Amino acid sequence: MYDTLVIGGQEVASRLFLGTGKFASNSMIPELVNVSGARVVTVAIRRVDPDYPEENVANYIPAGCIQMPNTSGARNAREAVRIAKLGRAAGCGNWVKIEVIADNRYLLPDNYETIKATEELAADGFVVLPYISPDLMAARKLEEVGAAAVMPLGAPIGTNRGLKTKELIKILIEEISLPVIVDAGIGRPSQAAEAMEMGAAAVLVNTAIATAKDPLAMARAFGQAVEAGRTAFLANPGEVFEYARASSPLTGFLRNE
Amino acid sequence: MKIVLNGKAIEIDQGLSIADLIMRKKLNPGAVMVEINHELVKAADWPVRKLKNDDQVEILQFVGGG
Repeated sequence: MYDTLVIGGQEVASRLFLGTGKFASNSMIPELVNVSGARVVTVAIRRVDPDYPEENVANYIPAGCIQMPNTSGARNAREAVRIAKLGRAAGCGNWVKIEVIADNRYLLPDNYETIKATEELAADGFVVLPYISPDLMAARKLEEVGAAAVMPLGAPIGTNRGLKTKELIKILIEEISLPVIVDAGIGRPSQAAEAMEMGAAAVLVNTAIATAKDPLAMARAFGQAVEAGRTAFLANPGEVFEYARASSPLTGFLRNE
Repeated sequence: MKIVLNGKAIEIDQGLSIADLIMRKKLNPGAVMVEINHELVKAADWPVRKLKNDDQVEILQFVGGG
């Protein structure tokens, strides 16, 4: 069975996208990418603190991966566009995850500003993957303005709570022809598998791996779960019944009736 | 003269280039991006691009993120 994910005209070999935040050390990243199989890796852009300069995380992303900057920190479309252009000019390629957030408690995205930024960046040649609240009308609009995928949240960022928005994500999968990538909230490999079984095109995971006691083992588990979930989706699961249906024949019993 | 570096006003010598500023701040030039007045300046231009009074300078980098 040949099954590929194509985004913005580019084939992506893995349906697990990996975030690089919150790890104890950037030096873990190559091995995390390796064991998880991820081929799309996200990074953020921040001001340097001259007193505490950090290493450049980009140096740890293995060759062959798509390095996708996010626009975290942007509070409106204008700021998101600025960050996206910075990432591209700095050599990141033309993929960008639009993240426009003006809510500090739940970090929920602003779909309206996200649509505006997506429209501008798609017209400028970016492969735009917008992080959104799973709203059908917003997703349709994003499709119309040139998004390459939509990335609805499963639960608020960093919560590990899983697929709280499952019913709404299902609607997007049914109604939108773009890849639907579940981003944020996934806390367990079983939840990633569930998203994939539902027909999600991919999942993006960061906190669940970074906060596990053994991030490498968890990265491997997520890679396996995403593959299992995708295979199950393609296998087209059987019908669900209310009452038992015997798997063994109900004739020829070894007893006298 | 005065510039605003990453949101903070600082005093610098006249005629300082971006490359000089990065060196003085002991930053790794291979790891940072520079914007002046919201416009990205390519690394190749850092030695020749002199800072001007009231320039808004941002020195940025890629960090881990989701």
